Amino acid sequence: MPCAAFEDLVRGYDDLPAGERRNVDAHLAVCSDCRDYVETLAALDRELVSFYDGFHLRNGFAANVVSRARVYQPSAYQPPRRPSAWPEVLDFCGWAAIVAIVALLAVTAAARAGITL
Amino acid sequence: MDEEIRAHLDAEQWAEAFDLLLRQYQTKVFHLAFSILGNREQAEDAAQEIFIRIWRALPGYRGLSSISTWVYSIARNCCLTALKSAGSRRTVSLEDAGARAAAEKKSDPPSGPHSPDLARLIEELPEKQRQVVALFYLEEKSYEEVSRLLNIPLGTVKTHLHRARNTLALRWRKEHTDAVRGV
Repeated sequence: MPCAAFEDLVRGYDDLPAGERRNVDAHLAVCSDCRDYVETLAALDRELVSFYDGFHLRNGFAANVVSRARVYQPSAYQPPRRPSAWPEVLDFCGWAAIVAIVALLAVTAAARAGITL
Repeated sequence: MDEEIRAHLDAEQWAEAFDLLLRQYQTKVFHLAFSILGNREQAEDAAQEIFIRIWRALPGYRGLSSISTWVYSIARNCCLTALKSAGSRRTVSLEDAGARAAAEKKSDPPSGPHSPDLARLIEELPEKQRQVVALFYLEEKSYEEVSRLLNIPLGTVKTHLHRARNTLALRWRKEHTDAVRGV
């Protein structure tokens, strides 16, 4: 175990500013426990670099994703649809029918009254 | 690259935007998935699902956050869902963890000839420390990138990393000494 007073410093050795690093170096020169700890950290660091170095995506990953994605369409956003024209058409037809019926009734009433248009 | 992706998104050129996005983020998303799921196969499957979800959600990107933030957020959510559906990692016994690590190690890069089983030691770390260690080494020792990917403060990344390295160093040295002594 490293000395309690130097534990945090030796653990973060790589991030230390130059001044603090000189103090730690002076301590390491006389403390074998801390030196062992720093050496273990450095060796562990090399092992971890080598351990994680092999984790790469397999070749063809992107092509595989693209071919799977083609099945779907981007869908989160539905552009606003143009309003249907049917309500206006039906509205027009309704009014046209009313006008026609009123006109028909007027013509019929006029004919009965003997008025010629 | 992000500007180019944004330009394609603005023009509703989804395929072009996705192509660039995939190229830009596939490795980081895979690393993030690996750090959370702890398994290469699952990470690659999850990365595929993440990109398909991104593809489908592309028109929903409103540009309120950066593209990377948006991508990483989807990735984290997908991974957490995958983790839940696969059952809590906490219920995995140490024997199972060791066996899985040993099985994975066959296809993973070998460590030094006298190295203790590093995969098992990493597996035994607390969840967050394991994620931070994995991402730190996968992302070329960038604290900032780990912070961005996991969406945790930089100071927290450093704390987790220092604790993890301390634990690993002590256990690793003990196992190494035991291995040399033939215990």
